[in-house]
Amino acid sequence: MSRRSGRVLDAYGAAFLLLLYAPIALILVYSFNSNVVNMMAWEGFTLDWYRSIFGLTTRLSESQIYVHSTEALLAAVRHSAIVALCASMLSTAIGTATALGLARHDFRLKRVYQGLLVLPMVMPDIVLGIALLIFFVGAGFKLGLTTIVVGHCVFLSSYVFVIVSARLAGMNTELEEASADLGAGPWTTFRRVTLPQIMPGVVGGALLAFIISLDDLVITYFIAGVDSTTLPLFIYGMLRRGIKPEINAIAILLLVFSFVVAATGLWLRSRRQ
Amino acid sequence: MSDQTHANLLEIGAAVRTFRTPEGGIVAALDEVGLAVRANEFLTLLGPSGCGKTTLLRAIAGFEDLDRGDIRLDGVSLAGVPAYRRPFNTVFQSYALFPHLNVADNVGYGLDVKQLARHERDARVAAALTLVGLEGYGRRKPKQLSGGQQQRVALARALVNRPRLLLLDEPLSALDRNLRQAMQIELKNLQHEVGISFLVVTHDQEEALVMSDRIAVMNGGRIQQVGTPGEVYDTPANRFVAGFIGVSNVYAGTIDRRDGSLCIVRTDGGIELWARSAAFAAGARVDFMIRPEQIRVDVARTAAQAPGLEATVERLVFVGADLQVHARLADGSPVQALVRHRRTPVEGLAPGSAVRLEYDPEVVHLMAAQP
Repeated sequence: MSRRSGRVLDAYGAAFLLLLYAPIALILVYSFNSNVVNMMAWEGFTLDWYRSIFGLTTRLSESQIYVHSTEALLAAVRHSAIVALCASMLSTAIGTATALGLARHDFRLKRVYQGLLVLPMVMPDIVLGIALLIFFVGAGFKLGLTTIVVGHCVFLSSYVFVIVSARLAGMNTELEEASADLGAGPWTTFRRVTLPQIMPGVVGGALLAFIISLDDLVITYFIAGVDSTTLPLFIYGMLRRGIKPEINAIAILLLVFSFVVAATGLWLRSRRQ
Repeated sequence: MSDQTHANLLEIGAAVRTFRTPEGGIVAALDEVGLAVRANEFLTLLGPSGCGKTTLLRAIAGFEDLDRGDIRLDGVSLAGVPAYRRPFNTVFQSYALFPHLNVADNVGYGLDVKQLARHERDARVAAALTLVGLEGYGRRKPKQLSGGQQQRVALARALVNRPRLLLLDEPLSALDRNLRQAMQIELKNLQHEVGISFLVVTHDQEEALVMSDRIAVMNGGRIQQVGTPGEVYDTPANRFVAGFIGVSNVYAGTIDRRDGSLCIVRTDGGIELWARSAAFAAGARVDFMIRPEQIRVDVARTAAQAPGLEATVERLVFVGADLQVHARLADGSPVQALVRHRRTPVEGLAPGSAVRLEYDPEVVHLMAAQP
């Protein structure tokens, strides 16, 4: 490759990364900006926006902040955590079991079944949200955390299914035969051979499900009850009253949390290998 | 009567297993297969790929069901008994070592499943590793071992459970040639040492000849012949066995007439061949087999007493100390002869030269022609 085209590629790469990360970097910077009138003009460093979120004393006046009730924010965080934990665990169990069943058994219409399982991933969120809402209301469910968890499981199971299936496809089925050959029954074989082999896929699927559940807005919007506001719904509600610097602080906190979850996942994986 | 049946460890009766091909056809991997495995023997299932030998091994292990027929252990049918309840262990072609467990835990897997006491488990694992020459390797992961070492771990993992029968699926195919030859002898010695019957699947005829007490030759889902290495080499049951084991010259023909126990065979090409056999009547269709080393190449073409064939040399190939002579008979059919221990060129033996190929009717072999 010529020196010239190498430089063009370098510039392209730099521009791409800038476009990708500059907005996020700006949010990070704004979240520490003490300018209460125009958050895009740097005035000085402050932790007030973070303090405000947690209900600590700040120099800010009532009109300058969104989060009038830290309790409401914390409740939203709590709801999101409950939903994300329950939905990711349930969908990991469902998705893994389905992937195993489809990988290890042959039956009629298997391909059709596989297609149906992946469909929720490509279905528009709005369609899925409306469908779930009609289903829950029609079936007489009271909208709340339970309906959100069930609704999230519907499409998160598909993600886990796809990830675990990919892992299973790469697994040597002779290992399971070897286990049976050595006297292990089906359950022992699953626990001592299959599960350790697909564990990176299961953990990866669970983490992805957790993160997707945590920041899902559209579907949750349809199937959440009045007293089950999740964090994305809460932030969306705040935005309707204009953009204020606190939103940056909340976004950064969410980002940091997501990083921690992803890093934990990667660390767990590297430790296995 | 009961002693009679128990002489055989395992009996396979009229086993049939068919598979559907993607094109919708039906292929019989096992076609009325009958076979007996004796106690404490080294039995090899030999055949080309796709002959059904691996299907038979997997049916014995319990990984494949039979459509018909049965497999009996000590006279008791194994139908419906899952793989994990059968007292057999398998050495897989890919070894199938558990990558997440170290060598000792791989070897101890079967004992752990049986929940053996810790000290006994550890002692047996150590003994098994010593048996295969891998003492001190217990804490390594399978990935850190060479192919030959992994193969030994797979052997130890199977033998540590003291199976009634050890099943080995192409155990040496992944090893390089030198290691394979060493392991052939070693496997045979190991079988004697542990006193467990070995049933080995292989497509390598040399491997089968070196290791086996008996060889079962398979083709097209059927057992072609069962016998000692000497029997299948010297007196193959049919043209397939003759061609699959060693090099042979086989000519199809008809018994023209008999002179006492001497059969005079006229080949389809019109050549007359003599063989000592009491098994065939005049008019029977037969395949006449003669091994290259049973042919004496007479360059001077002296009219001797021994029966002989006129042939034209086509090609000479040096194989180490021996000399292969590729020639054509009068009717154009190919013939191969072997001149033993001949390092220097033979006077008058060159491509194009006419020779007389002599043979002894006592050692050549007649087989019933295959339909």
